[in-house]
Amino acid sequence: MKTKSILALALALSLSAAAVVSASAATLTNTSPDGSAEVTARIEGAGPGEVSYIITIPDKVDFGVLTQPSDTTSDHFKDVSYTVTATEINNLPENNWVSVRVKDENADLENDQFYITQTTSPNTKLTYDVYEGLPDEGQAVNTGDMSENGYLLTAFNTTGQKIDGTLRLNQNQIYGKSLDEIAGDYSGHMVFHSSIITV
Amino acid sequence: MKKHSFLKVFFILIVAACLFTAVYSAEAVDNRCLGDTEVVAHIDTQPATDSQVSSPDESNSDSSDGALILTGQQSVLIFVAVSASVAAIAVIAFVFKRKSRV
Repeated sequence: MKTKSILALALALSLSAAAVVSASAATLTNTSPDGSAEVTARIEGAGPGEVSYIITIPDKVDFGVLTQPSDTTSDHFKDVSYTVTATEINNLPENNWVSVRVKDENADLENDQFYITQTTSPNTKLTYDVYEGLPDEGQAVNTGDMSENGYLLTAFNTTGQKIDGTLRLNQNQIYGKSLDEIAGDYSGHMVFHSSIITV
Repeated sequence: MKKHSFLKVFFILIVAACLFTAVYSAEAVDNRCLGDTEVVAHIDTQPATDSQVSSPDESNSDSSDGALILTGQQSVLIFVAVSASVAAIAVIAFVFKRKSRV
């Protein structure tokens, strides 16, 4: 009986630990350039001198509550920030960089913009732009040409480098629309891809 | 003998509770494609004035139908709290059991 109790307790604690390990921030690594883990992953199998890296991307970015503007004589932007960090880069040769690309989950060559979609009918779509930094500092990354793996967002070559980017949604898109129709939750996904490039 | 049966059921319940919270939390956090970032927004049914500015934090708890919306991190925190409580209860029960034997 005593042994069984100890075993039950040990099982309960190990289950708790296992579940906690599955939860935290998303990362991209050289072994899984499109993948993410909820914990900062360790690269296994990388021998001494082998290139390895961990890029951390945000789990979620929230525009919050959108406000229907009363006119469209000017833009009504809603900006939210996000961060992409080179958590770890090891043994990267000179002139090599870890590039990070991004695209909408449903993007293709004919429709390459970023969208959030109303989660209920009539599934209204709203577009937003992705900036590498502040919108005043340069053009949105999605104004350029998109490759198969997305728009080039940034490139890192040293541990600790990061970008503080911005997502911008122009609320003029919802001007004049029926609130009964457009009210609700909106959701979309940005898909990140990382790879080593030579410059 | 009765006491032993009770403890058996108690520990089985603890394991079941841990398993349930583990599965629930994993689903809450991992319910999305790999390598992506979820982007969300909300539009209220009531018209908002231009002077109202809502922060992202506020939107996390805002809901027109009163439903509780948890972010992945909040789900994890709740899970950790529940698991810790269950583990603490298990330890206390274990200690009591040993003491009662002595």
